[in-house]
Amino acid sequence: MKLAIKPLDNVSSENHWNYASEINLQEGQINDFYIQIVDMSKQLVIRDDGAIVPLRYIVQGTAKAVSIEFPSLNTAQVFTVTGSAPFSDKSIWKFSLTSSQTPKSGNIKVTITEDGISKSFIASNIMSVELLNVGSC
Amino acid sequence: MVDYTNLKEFDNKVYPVEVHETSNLFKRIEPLMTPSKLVTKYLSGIVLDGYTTDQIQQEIEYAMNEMELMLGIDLVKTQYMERLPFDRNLYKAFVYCKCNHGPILSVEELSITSSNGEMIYKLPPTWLEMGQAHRRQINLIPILSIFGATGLTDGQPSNAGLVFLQAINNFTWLPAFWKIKYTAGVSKTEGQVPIVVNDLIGMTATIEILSSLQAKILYNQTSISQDSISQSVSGAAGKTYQPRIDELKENRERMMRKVKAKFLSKYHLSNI
Repeated sequence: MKLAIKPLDNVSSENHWNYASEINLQEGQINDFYIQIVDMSKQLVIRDDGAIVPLRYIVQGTAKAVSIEFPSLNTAQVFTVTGSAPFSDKSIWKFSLTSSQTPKSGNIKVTITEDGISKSFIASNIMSVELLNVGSC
Repeated sequence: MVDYTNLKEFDNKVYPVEVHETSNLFKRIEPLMTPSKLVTKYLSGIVLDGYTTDQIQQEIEYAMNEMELMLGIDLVKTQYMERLPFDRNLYKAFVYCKCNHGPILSVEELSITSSNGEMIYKLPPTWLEMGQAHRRQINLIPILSIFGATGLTDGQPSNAGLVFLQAINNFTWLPAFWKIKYTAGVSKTEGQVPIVVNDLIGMTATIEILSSLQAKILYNQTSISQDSISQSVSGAAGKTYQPRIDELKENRERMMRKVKAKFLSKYHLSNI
């Protein structure tokens, strides 16, 4: 098993959404985003439009959770957000950030917990955050 | 993870170099390169036959690593720990520390440490001079605070380490005397990079993608004829995107020289 995530946009139901190439957020506002958990080791599906997508991974168990840790070199700036499953399809998870929670652009660490058993993996360079200060760094 | 509770920071912004403050009227920084941005800016109109988002992502990651190596600067904040020698001449030049990585954003520790890892004396961060930190240079200027009571509050003298302090008087050179822990990176804001650096990453990834795409083009000429109608097509085959690749390589080299000139200084240091 090789778990990964696919960012989603235009999510209106568990059957209506698009794959996005990254999660785009903006500083200074409440941000919601959706992801789908997929298993990259399973057979890839070729859709009608030619796009190649892996099979989804349904989070199992009675007590299940998906959380995302937003890394930073500064320990004080690392934070974790736990997602919610808005649909009956437990491969799709929603994450809500407050206006004061601004992740760093780049990698994120995803942890899936199924009845006390955790699986963690890194999603590479998937977060893109537009800041309000763009003149210098 | 790094504890940043006790440090001395570089006062200015990292980019633009030596800038203290800017307005938001002009955009100079952006998030690290993403697949959608790469396709929009560099590969617009190109048929990415066989390239998935994951593969483009991978090309970007490789390009980031390549650029980090070629430029000699860290794309994201990274903490280093170096053992610097005691050099009498450099010591007399206000403990001139020339570090291997940069631009230096902050120094978390400068201490005299023995070879078994025992800290003999930790120098107060307030004594550190960060004016040339963007050029990887740190100095110790205790002139202002050495006479004050607060100047020594961070110092941790140890009787066992007196021999190390005395060594300053007896030796001209000691191979590993100072220990410096510092954070370097091209941006104080993690995940954000100067647009010019992102441009270099984008060009590097694009060169790889175009090179791979053009290698798949097998034929350089096709000809169809039926009765009196004929059609022929010729092309550069495996060199279809070569002019664009050459152009990107040339731009990249020119840009790299400019970026290196901004963040690096070339000179020779010696204890002779």
